[in-house]
Amino acid sequence: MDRAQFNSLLNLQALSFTLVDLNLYLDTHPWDQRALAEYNTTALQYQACRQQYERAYGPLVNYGYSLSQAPWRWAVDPWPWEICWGEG
Amino acid sequence: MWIYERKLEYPVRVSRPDPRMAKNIITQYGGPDGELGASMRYLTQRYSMPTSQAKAVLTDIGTEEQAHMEIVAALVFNLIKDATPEEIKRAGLDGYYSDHDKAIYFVNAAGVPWTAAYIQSKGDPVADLHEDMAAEEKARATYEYLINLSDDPDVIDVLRFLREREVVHFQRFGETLDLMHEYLSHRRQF
Amino acid sequence: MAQQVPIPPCPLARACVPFQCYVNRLPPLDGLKAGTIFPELISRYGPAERVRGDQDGPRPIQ
Repeated sequence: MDRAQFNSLLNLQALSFTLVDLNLYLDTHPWDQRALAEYNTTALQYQACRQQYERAYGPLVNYGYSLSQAPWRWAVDPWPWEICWGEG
Repeated sequence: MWIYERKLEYPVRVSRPDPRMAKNIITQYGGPDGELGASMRYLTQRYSMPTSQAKAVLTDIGTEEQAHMEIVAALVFNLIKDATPEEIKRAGLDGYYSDHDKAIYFVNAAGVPWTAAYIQSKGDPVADLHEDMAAEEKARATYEYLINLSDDPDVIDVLRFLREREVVHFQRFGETLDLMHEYLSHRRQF
Repeated sequence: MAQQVPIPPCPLARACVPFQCYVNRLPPLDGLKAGTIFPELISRYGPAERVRGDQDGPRPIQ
């Protein structure tokens, strides 16, 4: 995995994680409008970044949640457990 | 319905084989206080919860635990994938290797396979939420023991992340318990 | 300093966990490395020399 792809993926991991933590917070604080606004803003940011990543490197989700280039780009390597960060 | 996103929740880096550490870390995959137990417990308890809030928390944390299982598996996989049979024997992982080669399996650090006896789905929401809070504390403690055993900063970094998640999950279950008590006391007033 | 909300007394035979009051959150990459975006929920573990510095953990490759 090259540097550009790794950095792009790390950015996605960071945004995605913010969304996970905000999501859990909203599950017990559903009335917090500020947190909800931040969740939605970050979600839009995340979706844009993800689409950009997928255009370059292939789909991150399947079952129709993302489109795939040809040939079918889902069943390819590397899979997440095969990626060690910092390697060329 | 579940969707899988092909990225780890937290990046993993393993720079050298360490089958000894893998033998310990695998307990958070298939052990009593590991991520499989956590995930199955929450995803199963959610069906009988009386409030949508509790169902949401159990669904969402249960789903996150699946992502943690993947991280633990990635750690174990990378810690043993380049180990020689000699290193595996020296690490005391030869019993596991005999049955599984370098594949991943649901066992604890002593090789005992996972069992549904590790979890309960009592139906009583207060009892279930207490079990969930206890589970998070047990998982947190286990990650602390694993951090104590490791000398690899990259491995410790991942274990620290997973440990902090248990702290946050405990907080969410605690809040859910409070909301549940409120719900139950209102229901009892009729 | 995180805003403190007075904690009501906890009834007998009951476990009570105070509700989190959200004030500020960490930027995404810092939150990821800390294991939470909420500073008030960060719980450190390990001897001082093992506490992570800024140069540790996943970071963009220059």
